[in-house]
Amino acid sequence: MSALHPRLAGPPPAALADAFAREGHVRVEDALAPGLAAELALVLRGLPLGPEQAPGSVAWAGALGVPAGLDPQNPPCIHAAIRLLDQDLPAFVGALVGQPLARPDAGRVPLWFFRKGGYADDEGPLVPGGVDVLIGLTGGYWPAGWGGHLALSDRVLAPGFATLDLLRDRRFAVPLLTHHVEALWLRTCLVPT
Amino acid sequence: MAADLPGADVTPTPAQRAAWAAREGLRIEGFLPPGQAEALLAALRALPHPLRASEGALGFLYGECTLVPEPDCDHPLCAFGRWWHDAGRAFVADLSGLALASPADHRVVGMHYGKGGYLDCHNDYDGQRAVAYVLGLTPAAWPWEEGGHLEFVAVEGDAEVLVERRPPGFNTLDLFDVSTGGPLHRVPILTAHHERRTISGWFLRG
Repeated sequence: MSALHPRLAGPPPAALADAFAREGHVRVEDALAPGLAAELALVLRGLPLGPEQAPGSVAWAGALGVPAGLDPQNPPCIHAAIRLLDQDLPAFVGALVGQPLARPDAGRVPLWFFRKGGYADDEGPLVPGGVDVLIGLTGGYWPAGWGGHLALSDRVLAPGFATLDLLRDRRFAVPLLTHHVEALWLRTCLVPT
Repeated sequence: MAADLPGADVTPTPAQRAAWAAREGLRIEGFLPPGQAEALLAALRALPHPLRASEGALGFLYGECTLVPEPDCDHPLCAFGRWWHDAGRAFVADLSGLALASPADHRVVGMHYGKGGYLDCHNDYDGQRAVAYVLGLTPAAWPWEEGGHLEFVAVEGDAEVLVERRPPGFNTLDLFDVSTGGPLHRVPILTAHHERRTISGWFLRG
């Protein structure tokens, strides 16, 4: 069963493909199978992640390695996330851009969280020529002035819940989060095979 | 035998005693002898300060480096630690009139706040801490609106009021009594790429 929302079954709408080709960014709302974002948010935000400092950023980042094959001891949503990241998204986005895509970090659930004090000054493509993917798991809303939003040169977007942001050749930032809220994403990229 | 920091005056002045008596806290400017603060800052900058973030009710994010001084080591931080937890503690005890003890390991804790760093409001009280100290090792200055200053606050009715704001200092020593649950203080979030450096900690009840 696909981990994408059932309404995304089938070829992506031409309008979506056109918008992505033209602007290098699209957001798909309600992109995940019903309930999946809620399950993932609960499981993943409880992981013992600590803040990591990199040039121009402080983020709670890491990757959950998931062994191949179903393990009923794991929360089912984790296996659904792997299916989403390694099968459903490459197929959907590959159809959107008209070329086969795959994920370099297959088998891992890549976490990119921001809590108070977190920020990313200037982010670019994870892999040149690839499609950056941000899956929003943020269950609350707050003013953009608090930070933690997705800031592109021409638009600022709330972190999103069950959202799918696709970016190609676009730089973006996550402004400093100044309040005790959480912006949660899965962040990966898809590259031509 | 006390480990002496060359040139460090360990006797409180009458003005310092008066300031403590009035407010159970003060800032001392030019605390260490010339060159000492610079040496400590250089030593701290050479050491990793892994980020620590909130693990319970108190919100914070800062880099921290904890060092336990070794008896015969001439590293600036070891020498400072041996002196601070001997003659330095005696100075603070004399100034405050409190019987003080150092943590068993005589630790020296370097704190680094970069962009995003903050420490939410709290009073340090835990039943053991007596005097909080903040040795300022921040050469740069910046507007308080960008965060990173030490703020003391109080509650008046339903309102939180700012009592005092101290900019990050260099070769400054902030001391305040935390033995009975005050004062409330915080470091607001740094919103720009600045560097707030201190050696901070507490002397305990003796």
